[in-house]
Amino acid sequence: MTITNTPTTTQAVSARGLTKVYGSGSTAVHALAGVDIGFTAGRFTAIMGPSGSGKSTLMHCLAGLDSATSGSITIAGQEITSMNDNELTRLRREKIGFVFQSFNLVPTLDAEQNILLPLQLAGKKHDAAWLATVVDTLGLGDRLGHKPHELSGGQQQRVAVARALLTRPAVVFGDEPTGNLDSRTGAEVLSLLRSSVREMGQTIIMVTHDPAAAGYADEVVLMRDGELVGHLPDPTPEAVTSALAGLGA
Amino acid sequence: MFSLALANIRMYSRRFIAVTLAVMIGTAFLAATLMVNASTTASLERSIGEAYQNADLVAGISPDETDDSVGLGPEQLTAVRQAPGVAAAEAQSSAGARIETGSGDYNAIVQSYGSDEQLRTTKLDSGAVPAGREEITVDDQHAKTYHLKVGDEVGMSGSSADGSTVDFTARISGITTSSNSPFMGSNLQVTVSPQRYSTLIGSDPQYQSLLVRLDDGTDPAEATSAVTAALKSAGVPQASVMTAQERTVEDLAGFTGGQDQLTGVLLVFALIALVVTGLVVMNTFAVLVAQRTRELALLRTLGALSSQLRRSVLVEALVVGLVSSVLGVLLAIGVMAGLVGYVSTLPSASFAVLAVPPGAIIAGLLAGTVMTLFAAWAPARKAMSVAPLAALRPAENATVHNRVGKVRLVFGALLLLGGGGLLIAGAVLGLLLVGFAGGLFSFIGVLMLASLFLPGAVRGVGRLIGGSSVPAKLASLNSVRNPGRTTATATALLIGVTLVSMMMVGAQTTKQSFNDELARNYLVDVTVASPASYGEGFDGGAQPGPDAAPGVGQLGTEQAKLAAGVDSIEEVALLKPVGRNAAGEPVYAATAEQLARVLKDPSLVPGTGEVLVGQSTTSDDVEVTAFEGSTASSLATKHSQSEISAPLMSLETAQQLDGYTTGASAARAAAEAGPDQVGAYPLLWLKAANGLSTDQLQELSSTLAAELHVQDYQVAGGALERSLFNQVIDTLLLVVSGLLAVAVFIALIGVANTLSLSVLERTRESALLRALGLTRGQLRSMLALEAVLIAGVAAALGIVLGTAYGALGAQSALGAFTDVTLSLPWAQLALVLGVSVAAALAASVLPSRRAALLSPVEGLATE
Ligand SMILES: Nc1ncnc2c1ncn2[C@@H]1O[C@H](COP(=O)(O)OP(=O)(O)OP(=O)(O)O)[C@@H](O)[C@H]1O
Ligand SMILES: [Mg+2]
Repeated sequence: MTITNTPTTTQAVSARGLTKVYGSGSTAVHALAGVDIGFTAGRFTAIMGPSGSGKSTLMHCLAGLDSATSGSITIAGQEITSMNDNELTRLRREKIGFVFQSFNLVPTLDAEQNILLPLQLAGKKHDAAWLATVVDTLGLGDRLGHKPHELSGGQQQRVAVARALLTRPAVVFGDEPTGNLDSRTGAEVLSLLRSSVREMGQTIIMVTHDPAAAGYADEVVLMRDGELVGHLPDPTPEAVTSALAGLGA
Repeated sequence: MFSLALANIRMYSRRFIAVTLAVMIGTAFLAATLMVNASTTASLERSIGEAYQNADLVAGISPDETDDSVGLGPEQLTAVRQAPGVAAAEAQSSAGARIETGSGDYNAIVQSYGSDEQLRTTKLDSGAVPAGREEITVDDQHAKTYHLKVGDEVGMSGSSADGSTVDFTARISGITTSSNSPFMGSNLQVTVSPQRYSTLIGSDPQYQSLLVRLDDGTDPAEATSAVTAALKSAGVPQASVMTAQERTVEDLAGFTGGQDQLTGVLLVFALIALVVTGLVVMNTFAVLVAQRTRELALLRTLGALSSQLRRSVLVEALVVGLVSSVLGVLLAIGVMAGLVGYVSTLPSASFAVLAVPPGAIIAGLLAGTVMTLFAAWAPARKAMSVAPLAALRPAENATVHNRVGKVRLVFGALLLLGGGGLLIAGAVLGLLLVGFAGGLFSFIGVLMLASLFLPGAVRGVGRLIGGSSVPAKLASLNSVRNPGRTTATATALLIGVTLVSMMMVGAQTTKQSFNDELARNYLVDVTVASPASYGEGFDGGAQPGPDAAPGVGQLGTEQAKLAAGVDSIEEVALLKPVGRNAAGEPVYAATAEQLARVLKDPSLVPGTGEVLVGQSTTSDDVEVTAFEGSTASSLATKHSQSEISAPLMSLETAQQLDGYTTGASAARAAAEAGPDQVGAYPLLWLKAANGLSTDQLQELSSTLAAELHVQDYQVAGGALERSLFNQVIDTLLLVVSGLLAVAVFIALIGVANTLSLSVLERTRESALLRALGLTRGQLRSMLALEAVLIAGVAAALGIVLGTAYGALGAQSALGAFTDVTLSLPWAQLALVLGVSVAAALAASVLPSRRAALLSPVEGLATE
């Protein structure tokens, strides 16, 4: 079964025939069993599915953090499966933003240094006005000098979001970015993500278990056993819940 | 808890590799030191025992005997032979002789070729037993060295105690196995027939001891009393009769002592290595406990008592300590076996044997285990204080501040100030012991205060270099992330580097000071004294005369010409004694032109009417009388700083002295000193080429001695003494640095260890950085820089500290004797820094490789 978004608009990220096999022989696990997918630029997509369905694996492969067993992946027009480690690293710091579930920040750096880290790694100057906008939007103005352990969980996630947005990447990946937050703080972070899509035209791909979180997305992609098994445009939490129930999750 | 400790060790075995290595080396050092002592003793015992190998009893005069006339002679030997139970007895005796082979003249120790086959200590290799008066045997090693073989004829001469001399041509009838007895020294080992031996030893021979063989089945105790009784009746009231084994042990006692000192010195270095090892162990366990905080807290919530947690850590330390000590002792045995194996292949040390005393094994095991337990004590207490709540808090260790115990701070400060005061006092007053105590105390103080300045220093240097790039910035932040860890790691290295640089600065300063002193004392590079002034013939010993022909007495113009012909000799001045000063000391003269060329400081050339005098003469003028003159001339003095140089004037001045002549009679007058005067003989003053090495100078010295037909010791001078002294100091420095290198090596293992443990701890963080765009290379360089930062700062501080200690120490040690000139061995110190930094770089290779190879996804998945 193959599900693709409308292929007419430009695609920020796309994958063709993507497989990922862990182990070999009888113990082989097909974490991705042939995935074809495209993510339209400027949209907020949520990937959902039961535990072990391959969501994280898909995200890691798409982001060039992990190598796929076969298939091709294109990010911002570049084929990445043939890139070596250094090229992938450079791609990540320039074209991709990350928000992880936890441990998003380097503990020895303060909030501002954490936000600037990818740009500094790339040896690029940051756009001060853009930084101010991002920091303002995220309400981090008075927290920039703090070390991660001096920030609340929500603030830490917002710093991670700021860092992800600052490079104006082709795509921001989030693996359960609100998984560790209470529902109110989670909602704040999700609104921020959605407004970056609406107002800045950012592309975001987010893995989540939470139907409420998925409700912020423009579209939900459903996975089971390493395959795409459906998608919900303009999802509501209720629709997502029933779709997941249909997958047996 | 025991099972938990074992599980931990098994689970985290990789984390214990470095600490095991460190403990192993420290323990091995200690055990090997003790084995050196035991092996030396055993080797000596073996070589001494050789002399008594086949004897049942050895009889000698008791050391308590005060009467000199009591001795062992033929009478006593006969008495012992007749004692009940005695099968045979032989005298152990040797005489000195000289053997002339045509190519040289050698000292020999001569023994009689014993008649009792079993008591004989020499073994015939080839040829025949010496028969008659004209045959001898020589030992195979010397035979090889001197190219002697059976049938050769050599000259043999000697004189016995009663004054009779022997001189004959001997034929070599056989070759014997060389004895390793230390009593033989390096002498040629010769045996002769008993008839010949009696002519060598004289009419009243005195034997060292009597070797006794007993009849089969005789009780040694009974025989001992029988022999004692026989000796008593033969006029030896206090005989010492003992078994060969007992006698060997007693002889051995006379040889030891020297090696006990060696053991003492080595033990100090082993102790330093163990202290450094202790720091590495402490750090390792502190890191392990910190990394396990959550796990420990979980155990606490599940009901583990805090004392159980501590015990668990201590059991881990015990197991690690025990295993590494066993490995260390094995390593020591292996290294020593290899060493002894190598040494025993050297001809002069074939008797070397390895001895592994139980004491060395026990001491090694105990020291390694106890030290590991001791070092793990503080980390174990920390494990005890983990609160159950810590399991629930997020593990965040970026700001774990190492609180310095107040007591330690106060104590450290007191030690530093008190010790520093003592050290400076020692330096000012030139008191070595005071300086030593001060240095020791203040250094302990510095180490106790290390947590105050080391992290700060690393942070400061890190800031300096950190601004440039992200990896550098991260490295500098990481290097001081755990100040306690940084302190312990850097301290371990600081100890070794401080001591090494102290030795280097001390050695260099000592050399410089000594060289300055020599430069003051010796106005020229090389001096050659006339052989006559030592009462030895100069190839014949004709009448002395300043201008005598070569080979007939004293140095003269011929020798000056010969000396000038020697390579590397640039200028020569012949100094002739021309008269005496009021104190009767000879006064020398040479032409002003020659003096100007040989003197190192040409401004010292005495002008006409002037005498150059040494430091001890303070007056403004001296009275000088020519040897055949009657009137003393009063001459102005010119002062040099030399403490040993004789008064000197130019030949032009000497010619104006009353009664000055250069004739043979004047020379005779100079040599034949008056009742309260010393004979005066000509000297050669030489200027050698600049920049000669020690070896070249030694060679120059022996070439001069050979060319001028003088003995080696008659060639002296500043250049030679300097090079000899420098060689001694350099050798000592090399040995000491080598011994300290063990401690430095252990400390570097500690650097690698801390880094790899930190890397393990920061796996997630590294993965995050990789995800965010840190390349593999950048990650590697970040970790390398972290190691270099800690090691570099520790080494730099160690060098600064060591320089201070070396300078003050040299001042305390030498201040009382000479002016100390501080001199820094820049190249050596730079080498220490370079080696430390390079080793830290190397130490970071494995951990950073592991970190860089881990994929970001795997890293992010770790807990
Ligand atoms: N390193 C690995 N080695 C072997 N199998 C793996 C590995 N990583 C993931 N898998 C397997 O691949 C499959 C997909 O895993 P993945 O982490 O992508 O699931 P997920 O959808 O993210 O689950 P969750 O919702 O629990 O995070 C699972 O069956 C998992 O067991
Ligand atoms: Mg997942």
